[in-house]
Amino acid sequence: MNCNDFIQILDAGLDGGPPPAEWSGHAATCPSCALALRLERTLRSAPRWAENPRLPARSRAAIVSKVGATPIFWRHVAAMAEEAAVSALVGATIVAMAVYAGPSLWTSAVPETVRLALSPYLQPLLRGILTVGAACEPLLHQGWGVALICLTGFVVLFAAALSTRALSLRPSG
Amino acid sequence: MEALPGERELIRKFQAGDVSVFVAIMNHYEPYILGLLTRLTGDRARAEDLCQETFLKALKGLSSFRRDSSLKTWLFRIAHNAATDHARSEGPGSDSIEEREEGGLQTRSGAPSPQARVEEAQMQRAVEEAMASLPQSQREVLHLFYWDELSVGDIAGALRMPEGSVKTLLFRGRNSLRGRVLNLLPEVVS
Repeated sequence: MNCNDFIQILDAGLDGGPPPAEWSGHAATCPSCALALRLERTLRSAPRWAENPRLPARSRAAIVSKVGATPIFWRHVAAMAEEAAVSALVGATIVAMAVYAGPSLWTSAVPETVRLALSPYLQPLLRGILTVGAACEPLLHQGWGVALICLTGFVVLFAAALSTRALSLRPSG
Repeated sequence: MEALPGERELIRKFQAGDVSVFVAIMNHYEPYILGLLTRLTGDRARAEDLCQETFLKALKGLSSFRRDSSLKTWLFRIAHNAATDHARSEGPGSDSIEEREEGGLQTRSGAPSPQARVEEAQMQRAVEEAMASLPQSQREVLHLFYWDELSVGDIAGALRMPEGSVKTLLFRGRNSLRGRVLNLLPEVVS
């Protein structure tokens, strides 16, 4: 066994099973490998000999005073609302793109056989979209109407995302 | 590093509004975080400031902690970011060995005989000195691996780097450390 083999086994970890017999023999005859072994043992025992530092009392007091002052409920709600708002914006963008580019993509990119096969399942959805679309159609001619549709869509998606986040945080036990 | 008993339950309680459990979390992780920051900055007072900053950030962020990583990984990541931001604000050269306090870290030994105790203390001092002269990335990975006993996966999570990079830094760090300890303790080899 040479020094490279020795170091390789040392780096692989001393707890990964007993090293070959010639390994300890090499350490007995090679001072630099013996030092490497000593160093590794010293490092492995570092949690026992290292200092166990603590913050000074004033720093701890500063943190603890903030702990008492944390409005956890509102912070919690604000964090959830922030995430829900981001999810809602992403969702609204995807829906808007799907509504805008969906029909042309559907006819140009999807083969006719697939369209025919899927149409029985998509018809109800399409009918629903057309019904809602027909009801909203007059609004599209008004500036505020478009804003109202966007706002409604955002609120619906925001509520959905917020509910999902709140349910995911429910304690399991 | 020992895991904090009932950690999941503590986080759940905190997120349900019982903020007092944060003190238990801080009590458990404080020595590890402060130890790492002392190692990274080489300055105890600065490390204490960064440690305080780390726990204040953790206090702020724990309400939205998603539990997709472990709490220790998350806390070490905050500490790492605080140290990195601090080093950046200090500019290049803040990592120099000359700035480090000599003999800043005390050690305690549990070796049985006086001779063995002296040798062990000598080795520990050499390790501390050699560690202080390593590049920050190697020093940090070695500290997290040996002192805080984090696995390679946990270190990768805390530092947001691939496990392969952690292994490379560990390998290079060990090699550099060996070379430096060898220079510091030549009488052991001769």
